[in-house]
Amino acid sequence: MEKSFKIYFGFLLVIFFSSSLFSQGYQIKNYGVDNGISQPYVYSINQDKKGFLWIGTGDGACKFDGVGFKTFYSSDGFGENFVTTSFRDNSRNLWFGHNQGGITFYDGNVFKVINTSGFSKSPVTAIISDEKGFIWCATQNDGIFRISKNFEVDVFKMEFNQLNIFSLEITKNDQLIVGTGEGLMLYNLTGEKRKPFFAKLIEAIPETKIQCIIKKNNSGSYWIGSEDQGLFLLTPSVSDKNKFNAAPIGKSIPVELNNVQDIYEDELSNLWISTFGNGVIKLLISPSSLQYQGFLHFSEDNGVGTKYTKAVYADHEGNIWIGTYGNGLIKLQDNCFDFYTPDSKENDKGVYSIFVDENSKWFGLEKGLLQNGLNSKNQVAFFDQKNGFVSDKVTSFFKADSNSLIIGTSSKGAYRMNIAKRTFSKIILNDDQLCNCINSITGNKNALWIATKGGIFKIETAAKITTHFTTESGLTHNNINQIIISADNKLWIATHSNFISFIDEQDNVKNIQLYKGTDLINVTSILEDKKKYIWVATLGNGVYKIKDTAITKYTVGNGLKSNYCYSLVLDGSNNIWIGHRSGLSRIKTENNEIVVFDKNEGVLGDCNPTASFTDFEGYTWFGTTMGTAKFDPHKDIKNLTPPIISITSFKLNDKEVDYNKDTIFPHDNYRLRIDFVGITFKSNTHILYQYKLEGFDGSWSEKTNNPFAIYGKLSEGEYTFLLKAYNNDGVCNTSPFRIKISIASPIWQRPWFIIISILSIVYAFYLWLKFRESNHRRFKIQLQKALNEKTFEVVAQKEEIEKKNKDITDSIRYAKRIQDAILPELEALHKIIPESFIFFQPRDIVSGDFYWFDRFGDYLIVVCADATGHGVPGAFMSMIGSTLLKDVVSRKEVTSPSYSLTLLEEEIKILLKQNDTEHHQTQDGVDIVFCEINLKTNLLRFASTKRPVIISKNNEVIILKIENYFNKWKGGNEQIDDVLFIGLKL
Amino acid sequence: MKRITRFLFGFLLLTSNCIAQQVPAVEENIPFLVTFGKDGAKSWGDDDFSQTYFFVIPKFQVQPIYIRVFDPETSGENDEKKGEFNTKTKFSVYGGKEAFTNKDVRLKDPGGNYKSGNLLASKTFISSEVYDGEWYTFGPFNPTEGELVNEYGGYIFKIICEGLAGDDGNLYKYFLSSSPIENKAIEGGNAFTFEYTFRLSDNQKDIAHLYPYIEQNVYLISLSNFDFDNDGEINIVSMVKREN
Repeated sequence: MEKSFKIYFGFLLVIFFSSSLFSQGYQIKNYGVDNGISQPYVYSINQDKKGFLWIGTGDGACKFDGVGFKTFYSSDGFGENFVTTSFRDNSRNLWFGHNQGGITFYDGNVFKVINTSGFSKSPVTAIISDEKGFIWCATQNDGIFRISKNFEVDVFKMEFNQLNIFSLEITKNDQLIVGTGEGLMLYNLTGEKRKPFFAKLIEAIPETKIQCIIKKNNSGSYWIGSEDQGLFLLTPSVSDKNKFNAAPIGKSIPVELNNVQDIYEDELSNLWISTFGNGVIKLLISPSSLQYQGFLHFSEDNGVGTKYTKAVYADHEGNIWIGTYGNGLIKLQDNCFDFYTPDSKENDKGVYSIFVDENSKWFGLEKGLLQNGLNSKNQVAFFDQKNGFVSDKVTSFFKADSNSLIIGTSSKGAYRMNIAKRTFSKIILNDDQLCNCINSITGNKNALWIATKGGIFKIETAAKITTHFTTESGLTHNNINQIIISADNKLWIATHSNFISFIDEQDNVKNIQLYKGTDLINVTSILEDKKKYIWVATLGNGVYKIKDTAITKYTVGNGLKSNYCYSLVLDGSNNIWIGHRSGLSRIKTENNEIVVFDKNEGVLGDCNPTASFTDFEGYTWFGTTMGTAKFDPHKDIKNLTPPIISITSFKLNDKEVDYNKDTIFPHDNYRLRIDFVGITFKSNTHILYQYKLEGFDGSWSEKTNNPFAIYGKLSEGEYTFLLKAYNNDGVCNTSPFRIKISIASPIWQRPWFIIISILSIVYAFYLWLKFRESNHRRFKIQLQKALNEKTFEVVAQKEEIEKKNKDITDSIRYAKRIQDAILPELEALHKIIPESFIFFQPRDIVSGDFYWFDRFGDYLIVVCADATGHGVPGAFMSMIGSTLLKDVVSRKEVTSPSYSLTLLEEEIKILLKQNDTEHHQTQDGVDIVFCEINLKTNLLRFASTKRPVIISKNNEVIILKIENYFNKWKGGNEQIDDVLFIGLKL
Repeated sequence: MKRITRFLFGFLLLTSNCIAQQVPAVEENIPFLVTFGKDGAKSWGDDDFSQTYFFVIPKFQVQPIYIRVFDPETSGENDEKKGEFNTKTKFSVYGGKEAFTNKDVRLKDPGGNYKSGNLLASKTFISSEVYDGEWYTFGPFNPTEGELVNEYGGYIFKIICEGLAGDDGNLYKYFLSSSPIENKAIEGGNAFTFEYTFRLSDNQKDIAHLYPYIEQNVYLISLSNFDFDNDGEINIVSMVKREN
């Protein structure tokens, strides 16, 4: 007989029994076709190396990033649309098995279809891997095949003799455990090829359809799920590898564990069992006995929507996923909130006040009082006017003593309940209607304090005196929202006021200004924390923290969900909880960190004023318009798992490019857009990103929830895109996600180009030099040629000149001979005057100077003459002079030197036509000294024109200078004229 | 003696109309299908102790489908007792590739690979009285787990009833349902077989009607029956012949 269990979250008017799973503490979210999943029949769930969840359905594989689904079909390179199973290997690659025997391998980027068409046509039922890295695939009707790392396939069909295989595992002894339709079989892997060889039927397991075999964590044992014989733990014998022991699991649990499809063992060794027909059962292990003694049941009645499930899986964050058969994908998220809703026709769903003690939980409903936990069976009782109470909204509680509960109502006053007897007695305040509108109750051993819409009542316990505090007593308002007694016995008052008031032990009302605005704020709630700070909640002005005169304000700007705060409560960790509409804010007093809890955590209702309470176990309760939310601090664990970053799009100039390859992008000014996602399957609404492009950005960006980064103009350079993603708890990846981007520099900036350019320039310069050199050489050749020509010409001319010169010189030399011939010889002079000399040094070959001497009886005529010019002209003049002189001297009328010169002058003029005015007249002449020496008397008579006579006598030199004597040596050294001296010693 | 008749058709015998997924169909006036245990005598009307039926699910069906079996056990009032009830009957549901398209499924006698396709579910019923006069439900099944045969407009599931042991006659019915707890017809669904083994009504005045489906290309029909004792008659009605 099938057993059925029903689980109730809510409260009923009738008494009921609850099972051990009264509160499940899981938030359930369903993903169906409307959410993007391709088909509601989920056969497998897995997670790839990039963090994406892969949901294998009967119509495609859906990739999930926590936000949306993307489905892959055979048209996308996937093997087949129908996915029957999936497996993640040690390298975190995924292997998908298909309904018609196909296998698809996925490395995180690309699909690879393994060709099985020749041997496998029936569904792939299981995929595993062995220690050697081989992948083993079981098919329902076509045996088993094995895939190597190189994707080579070995098929073992005959070995399984047409058995229907539904599950598979491999042992440490390299044996296959095969789940068939007829029980569990053991196969040894024999030979070099490790061929399966049937060993035996494992008799420890019943001969029924074995639907799943899962390795037990950190153990050599296996969980065996059967179709109709339950769940077993199979343990190999230590001594005999062919021997196994099997222990049934969960027999003491009052829930059916049949048709087990999948099993997941969590870190705490709890077992999550997916069944086909009884939903998912979580077997809870007892830490003390290590036995499975408790369970949680997830089925069609409580959010899963169906009792047919095929897969159960835990992602990297510990969220539990359930693949259902016909109701899509289910996520179970460990939630720190439990939710309870009153199930009553007379009352709305609201809970307006809460009180919890060791014996009972008290809930103030719209029209009465609910007590839960009357006894160990958790029975419930409801009180309204039918049973002695009133049918009115219960707004407040106060436990006066162990048997007395003071209850406030919204319009019918305050009551004292005898808990044991369940009787009620009204507390008389006064007849004023407002004074019977109870908002808050508190007290101590001395007095009971009741806050109403008409002031505060103090009822002294011993003296039984009631004191009514109103505005006349100093209160700032009569409508008192809440009162509390602080550690120093002050009664703090929350009311419509810009002041915070308290009543001291002497019943004096004191006010502290809270708000200096002109409008009136409404203080809704007040509490004192463990450090004696007073906290105040307002409607519209957030929350204030007060210590002495120091006031700190918290608003939306600091992170509060809203500035409208309806309730305050302190939890066990001294955190302040603020109730808002559709959510809660929590302020951690140690660091002022504020966290919001809203619909993502399941908090849907509006928090009712002052309806919050922290009980003795540390749970914090919140009364809302949708029932009660209970916060379990033990489950408030910071999510230390940062989101897994994945790049969803990488575009340069709006074109998708593959950033995985080490590509150097050509030079351009790029517009870069990178889309990314931080994969987290917990609350992903508050994921924040921070990024930086090294090489472009100087610092990290501000935290943003935009899942993309855009850079408008990216030019050449080396860049590294860094990305961090923060989860809801502010935890981010320790090492930023990196993408290296290289954009080539323009050609002209590249080293090779520069080098080539330099080399080219150098080479060009070299060529230019060579060209110049060549030109020079050519020019030189030309010059040389011209020079040679000129030289030749010059040489020719020179030769001609030389020849002519020679001719001329020869002619002149011949002329000299003639001139020499004309000049008297020195010997002749020696014959006349033995001591005599003639110093005759013509400047040129022929001379313009000449001399003559001759003896005429006793007279010696000596003449030194310098004809104008030198060289050939001089020689001509000397010839003329010499010739004319001979003629003149030989004339008888010449009797004196001077007369000789006079005659000589006339002759020269006649000869040179110097008197002819019609023709050009030469200025040529002769400078001469004509000496007549009487040889007997040594009398000297001379006549001279511009020629000196030098007489040396007794070592005395007498120079008979004539004007205009021309110096023959220029500068004393260079002979510039002919030189002629005739020396005579008389 | 209860009349058990087997008709063999060279073509499909489809239950008529598009919504009738009850097998036998209501309009046939045939109370039960029958399969004997393999130890039984063929003279009782079952020559092969096996019956194969096909169900067609239209392509647009997304919700799970169920194949319900009425009185799957061999016991109680409905079944044919031979001596003591000792019969074991196995029902197996197949889908997937070649569940229908394998040629062996159309053989006169179960043979070859008539169990082709993917075994989706199976259950063996013994002679107990748990499901006596009750429905047993196979499923849910994902419609796409059937074999897609476009010419039939949807996914085909095959159910094979085998008499594994014993000699009693198991009388039963099928219903193709969209609900696990009630017979709710699947719109567009259909059922057919190539060999029909059924139990006629005990009332001799009752007339059973069969409506074989004949495809357009068929030019010759051969109708044979097994163990049609000479205490009844068969009328073949042809609309064409009537008009002519």
